Amino acid sequence: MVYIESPDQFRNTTKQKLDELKTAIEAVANESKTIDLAKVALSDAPMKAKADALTVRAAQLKIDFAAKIAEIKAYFPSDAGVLAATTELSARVEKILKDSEIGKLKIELDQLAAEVTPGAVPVAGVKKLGDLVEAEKAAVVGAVVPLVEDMQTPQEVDAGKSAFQKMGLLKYQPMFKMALSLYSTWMSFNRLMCMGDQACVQGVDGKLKGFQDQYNSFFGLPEFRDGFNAILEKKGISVRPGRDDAVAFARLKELKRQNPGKSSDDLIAEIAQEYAGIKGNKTNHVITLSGILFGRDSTEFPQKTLIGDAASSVKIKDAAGEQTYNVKVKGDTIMVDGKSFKLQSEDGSPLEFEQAEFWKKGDIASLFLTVTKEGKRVLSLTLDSSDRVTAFLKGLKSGASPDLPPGVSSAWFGFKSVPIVIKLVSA
Amino acid sequence: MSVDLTHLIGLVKTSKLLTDDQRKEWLQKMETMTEQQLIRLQDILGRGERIDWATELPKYEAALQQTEAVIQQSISV
Repeated sequence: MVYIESPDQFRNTTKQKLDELKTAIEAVANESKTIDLAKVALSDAPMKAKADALTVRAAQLKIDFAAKIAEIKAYFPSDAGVLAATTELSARVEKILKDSEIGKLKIELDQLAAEVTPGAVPVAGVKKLGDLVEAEKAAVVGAVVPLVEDMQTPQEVDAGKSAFQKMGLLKYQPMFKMALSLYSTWMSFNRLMCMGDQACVQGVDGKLKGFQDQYNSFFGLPEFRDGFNAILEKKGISVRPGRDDAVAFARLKELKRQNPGKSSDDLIAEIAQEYAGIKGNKTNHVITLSGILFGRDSTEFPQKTLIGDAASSVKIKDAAGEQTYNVKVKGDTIMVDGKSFKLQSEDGSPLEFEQAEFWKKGDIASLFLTVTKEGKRVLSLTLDSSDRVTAFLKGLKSGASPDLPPGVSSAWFGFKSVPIVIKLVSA
Repeated sequence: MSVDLTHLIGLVKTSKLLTDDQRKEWLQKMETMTEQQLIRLQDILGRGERIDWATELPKYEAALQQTEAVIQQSISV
């Protein structure tokens, strides 16, 4: 997840993610493509030499055989005669070769080779991508992400654009898209390897979904962004990737829940029109998705960190009216109205809350929690509606340990994921 | 029977049924092969591993010789 990170954090994670992606892609590519013949260790080299010589001889024999068939065709006056003679010859040759084990296997190999149709090569271009990542990576260092969500002046617009270009983020999107497509192809190949073993198929599908989710949380659901772009571009407004895109999606989901009768397209159109209306006649305007979804006052969108020495009071409306919870998050502990819970990992490694942000606009509340292990983020939890936040806080208040989704240790795009079970236990 | 990709790549890399050029070709081909084809390839190369090459190579050589002779004579069949 990329939201609520400082520019420095964001920049560093981006660079780290690119490094990890590059390593992972190269590993996958090497696995299937690279063959260092010098290193192919054959214990019986003389035997291999002999086998190779015979293979060459067999190839020559095939050429001779074809020549002989041509000769027969010239010799026999009728087609029936040719057919009888060539069939007989083929049968004799095949029978002789099939009498030897090696001959039999080679015939099978030839048949198989003839059946394989040449087609697209799934992992082609991978190296190229790796090189690209390497070349672009340098640009990430030193780049600054603008903090302003909704840039107003042309100068600010230019500054924002150039910062993003410098960072290469806009350029990375097609690259990640390509990586996603390559990874999908590789995974469908792996899926084949499962041979109907459901557990295996699920594992592969899980990895692919993880990758897709990461991509979507980073760059936004394509149809979502495209919908906004289509409407806003006509009005001289373009949408750029923002740090809070994931929050924007959560907000859209909330709006969809509130307007069950409206299709996603209608809803997007309405929000975009409304935003364009607020912005009036301003043109050459670049904004983020969350900028649109939270309206012009996105910078005033109340955000409260719950991390600290003192408890913060959090007000959420539920069916019974407005409820107040006193929440304090510090180190590995979260405290709700006096009830304390500590983070605990299955393997006993120390965990810590990194972020605990409470957002509220109108009646809609969201809570974002992130957990780190040795400084590296292992869990990112988004409670994107008042109902979910209420359920979470109420549960803790009543003393019940909530179920947390499994965390992921040192993973990116699901390539090298090590699942880690994280619990909140009563302290 | 199922395919173990790592194992299959290993077989392609070392099988005496293949010349070095053929290894490269098969590794390329593998990426476009169907599940069933991969199973067959693994099966063929697997059987190639289990045969006694010291005994079988001379047999294969003899078979080639015989084939050569048959082809040479076939015009007078």
